[in-house]
Amino acid sequence: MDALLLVLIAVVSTILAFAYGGVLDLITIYLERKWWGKLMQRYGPTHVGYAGLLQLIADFLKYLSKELFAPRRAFKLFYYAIPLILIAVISMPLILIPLDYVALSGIQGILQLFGINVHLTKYAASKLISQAAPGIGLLGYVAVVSVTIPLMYVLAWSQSNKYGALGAFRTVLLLVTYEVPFLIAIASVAALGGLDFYRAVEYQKSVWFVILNPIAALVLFVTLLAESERPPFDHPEAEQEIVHGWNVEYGAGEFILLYGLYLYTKAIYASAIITTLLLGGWLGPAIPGIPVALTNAIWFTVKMIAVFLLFIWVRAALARPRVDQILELGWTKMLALSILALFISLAVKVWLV
Amino acid sequence: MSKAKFVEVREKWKIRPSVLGILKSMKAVAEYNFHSRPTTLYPFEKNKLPEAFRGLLGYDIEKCIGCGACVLACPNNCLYRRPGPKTEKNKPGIYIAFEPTHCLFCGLCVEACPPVSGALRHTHAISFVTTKKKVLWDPWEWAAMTKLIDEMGWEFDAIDYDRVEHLVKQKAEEIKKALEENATGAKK
Ligand code: SF4
Ligand code: SF4
Repeated sequence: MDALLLVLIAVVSTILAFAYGGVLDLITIYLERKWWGKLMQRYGPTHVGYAGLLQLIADFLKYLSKELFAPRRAFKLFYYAIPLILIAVISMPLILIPLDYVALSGIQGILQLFGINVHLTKYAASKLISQAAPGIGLLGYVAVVSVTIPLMYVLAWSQSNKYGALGAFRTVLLLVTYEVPFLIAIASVAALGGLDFYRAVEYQKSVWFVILNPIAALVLFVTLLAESERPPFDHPEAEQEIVHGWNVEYGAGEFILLYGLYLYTKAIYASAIITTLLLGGWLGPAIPGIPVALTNAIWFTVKMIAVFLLFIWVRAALARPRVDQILELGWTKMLALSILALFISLAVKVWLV
Repeated sequence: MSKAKFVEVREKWKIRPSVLGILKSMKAVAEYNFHSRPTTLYPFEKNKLPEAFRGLLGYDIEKCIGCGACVLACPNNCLYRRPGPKTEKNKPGIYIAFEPTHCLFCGLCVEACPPVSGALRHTHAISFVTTKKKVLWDPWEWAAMTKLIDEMGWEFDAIDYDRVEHLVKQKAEEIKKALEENATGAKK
């Protein structure tokens, strides 16, 4: 294939993955507001659209209509540039994690329903990447998450606000603490099915890895929760103590970028990784009358949303511990559990072979 | 009953920071899926009020016998006698004017009103707002307001009197006319 075609494929599948991620963002945020409200005996959004379905779009437009505002002592260049860079960096995993594959396969399935037979999924950027360099997807995701650490520092510094600085320090603390058990948990999953997403899904045809190694699943769940800064690991944000953490000075469109897009995209990546590595990815029982490509997309979406619902449930149930308790959990219990998970994986692998 | 509810919730939240505690709290939270919400979407859904709720006073002018017991009972002196057409029911031809801006919603007048008449009652209008310093309703206006609360569905709602004043005045004319037609003098 010549280079131009490759670039075209990459651009198209990135756009598709972006669209898919955006739709998932809308669904998950709506579900979060609604179900979390229900668990707290509130209503959640009710008025805009049917049962508040359009509330998120209304909020979006409201934020966009606000004035872009920078505090006097902020370093304007970084203050405005870093959110954009963060978004640019965090949209990279859209084609590292097979989200574009799922989007393409959904489109292919819908086309097949209308009798058009095309083979779109082999052009997915993440598939091409994984064929060229297996394992780059997962490692690339880990690398992208680590790139956000220095960006957080710069963000906090450019705001010249002590709450922002505290929030950014806490982000870095969390990321550094939970990166270690996260990597070991990924290693333990990779010991079962390899580093490559596609290979890992192939391996899960007979049995999901969550059944083979529940401890790795637990560690992966908790560490991904911590990395995407979801409660009860929302120390960087900590509305009640440091107001809004590292995005305290931001409003208007920048707030959407940082809070709506950056954080929720990270949460969606977390649930996508759990789905692909532990829950069998897009594999699922066939639905009669619907082509396999479409069922793939449906099962992946359903599983991802189910994982996200679990996030919401945990968020509603647990309070935020102190920072030192969180660090202690990460450095002792999670680390020990992840090493245990690695041993279990190796034992299972040896036993299976 | 409400006390028992609080105890139950407190028992539920006696949780330890352990795996068991986490599971327990997740279970406690999941139970709220099956509870109904204690609040309502107020302006779109009407609130449920206790049966003995003491809202704005309602006056049924056709039932009043003109005994004046309510005027004597009122601690605030916000009820006044007014002459009107004598009817079969209301032989002395005395009706009651009411000053809602002065009423303390104590309900003593409702208790004083003899059961043969039962003209006074508490409606379920939650609040009554006006920019005027003093509102004094003639008996017909008061009766008109009571009728309007039932007809227009203002129960469980806040009433902005400045906006509905013309409606009340209009209705009051009708009620007065109807009373005059029913008057004993007119029949003879
Ligand atoms: S409720 Fe009390 S204050 Fe109001 S009119 Fe009746 S007796 Fe008077
Ligand atoms: S006590 Fe009742 S019947 Fe007697 S004047 Fe008052 S409202 Fe009429």
